[in-house]
Amino acid sequence: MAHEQLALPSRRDTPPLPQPAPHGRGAITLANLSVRFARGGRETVALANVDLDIAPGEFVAILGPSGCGKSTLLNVVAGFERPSAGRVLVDGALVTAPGPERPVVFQQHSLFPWMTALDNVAFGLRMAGHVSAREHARHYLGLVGLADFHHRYPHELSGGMQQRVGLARALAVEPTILLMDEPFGALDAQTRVLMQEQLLRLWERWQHTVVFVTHDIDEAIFLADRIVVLGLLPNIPRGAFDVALPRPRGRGARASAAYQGLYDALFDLIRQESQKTFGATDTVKTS
Amino acid sequence: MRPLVRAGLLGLTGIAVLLAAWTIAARKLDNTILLPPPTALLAGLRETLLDGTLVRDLAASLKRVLCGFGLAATTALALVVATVSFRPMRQLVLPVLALLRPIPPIAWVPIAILWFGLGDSPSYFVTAVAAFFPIFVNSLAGVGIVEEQHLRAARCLGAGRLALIRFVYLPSALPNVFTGLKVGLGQSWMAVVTAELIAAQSGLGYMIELNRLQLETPRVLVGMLVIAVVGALMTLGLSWAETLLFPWRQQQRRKGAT
Repeated sequence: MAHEQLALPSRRDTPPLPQPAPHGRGAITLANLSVRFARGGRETVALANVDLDIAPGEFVAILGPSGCGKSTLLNVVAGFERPSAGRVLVDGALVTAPGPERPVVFQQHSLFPWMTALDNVAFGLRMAGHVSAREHARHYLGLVGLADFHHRYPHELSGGMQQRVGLARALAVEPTILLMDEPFGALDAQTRVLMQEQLLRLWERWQHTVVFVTHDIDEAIFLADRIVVLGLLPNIPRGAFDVALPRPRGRGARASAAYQGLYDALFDLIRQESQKTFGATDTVKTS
Repeated sequence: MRPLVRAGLLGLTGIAVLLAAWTIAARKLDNTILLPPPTALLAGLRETLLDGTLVRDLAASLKRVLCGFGLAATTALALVVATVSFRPMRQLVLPVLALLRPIPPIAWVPIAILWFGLGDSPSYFVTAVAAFFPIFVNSLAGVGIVEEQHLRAARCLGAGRLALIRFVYLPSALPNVFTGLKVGLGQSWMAVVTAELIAAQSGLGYMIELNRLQLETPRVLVGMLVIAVVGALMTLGLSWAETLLFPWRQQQRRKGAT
């Protein structure tokens, strides 16, 4: 790819990268997972019969139309919600509560507004009793290019910057798994592409497991090793697609034939699923 | 900067118009007992400052407000903590407070005199009653407005129950607690004067009532002026402290308004 423009940070102005995740850790198993909600006396199936194995270091995108239960899936893996049936295992251990080995990067407004960017990033380190939490936090803020903004409060940062702080905050606890819930969904198109490239740059050197929820087909292809499509009515997996694009991926990745073929296949599948809620009298909505 | 200058000029003009109208009305009426001119008020201010009575009365009122307010803040916040950490407490306490809340502080004055006699004590009680409800209601609401997303973020970064209280619930609630304290202080400042009109032998309320009986109207107005200025200074000071303590709040409010 001649016009490959992967802007790797130069050694001079970025701090050293953290250690890769310990080899072989960060495996996720979803076994016959179902989540049902009782809402207004009626039962809503947010997710049904999901079986999924994610290997350590794998980047998996969960793709689907709104209401397909993709965020529910992430919330269960995060430990925020309990499954109605089935179970989630992380490295063989049953997930029952949230934990710092699998922090979440949320869509927006998840930074603590009463803390500066630096204190937000230092939060997880403080919880772990880290002796030099602020020094470490400064380092991670530098990794996402925001070293100079450490004293700013979230409301003084742009939406993209807030998401980068959120990413730094999650990375700072040196997790084996990173859970991302449409983290770039609220950003403008330009910023979103830059964020995707920055995330890949970090991940390609670091290689922790990533579960990335999105409704954006392009984003899923550009980032992931594997794409799991969730469908509507019922909310079950409709297929898994391996992304055969070489890494490291840069701007050129989107111009390849492999990208286009996969995009078309996914577009048709998602379109089929999305249409189910058009004209249907009974829309199931879970976010 | 220019809109600020404009607002300042307009504000000064408003005060000037009030003073002018007052002067004209006083001259027409020509009755220094019913309406003395602003100049008589200035003379009264000088006299009361020179003989020390104004400072003494102001100090007496401030002392009562601070004691009553401190008492109210302590009990209200303790009760909020109790209702939050022990759920049945909420159901036990809320109906009682809903019943007591509509009683205006002034209606407590007679019973306060019966219970505590004349002097400082009934004023402590009445100012505490006045400050209690705003502090309690705002603080309790503050505990309720914590954002689920902040709780989740903190939990997935390793925060336990105590850390959640200290780093998420508390900072989420503090701005509302502060609002409650601000409103509560204003309420008890108004209440102290009410109480002193009836139940005390010192303080600004007492000074107003005494001078009314002696037909020293300029001094009545001096008392009212001091109440106004001190009340305004309290509000200004607390608003300033609020922007220092909670720098993120202003922006949020501005965003919410648009």
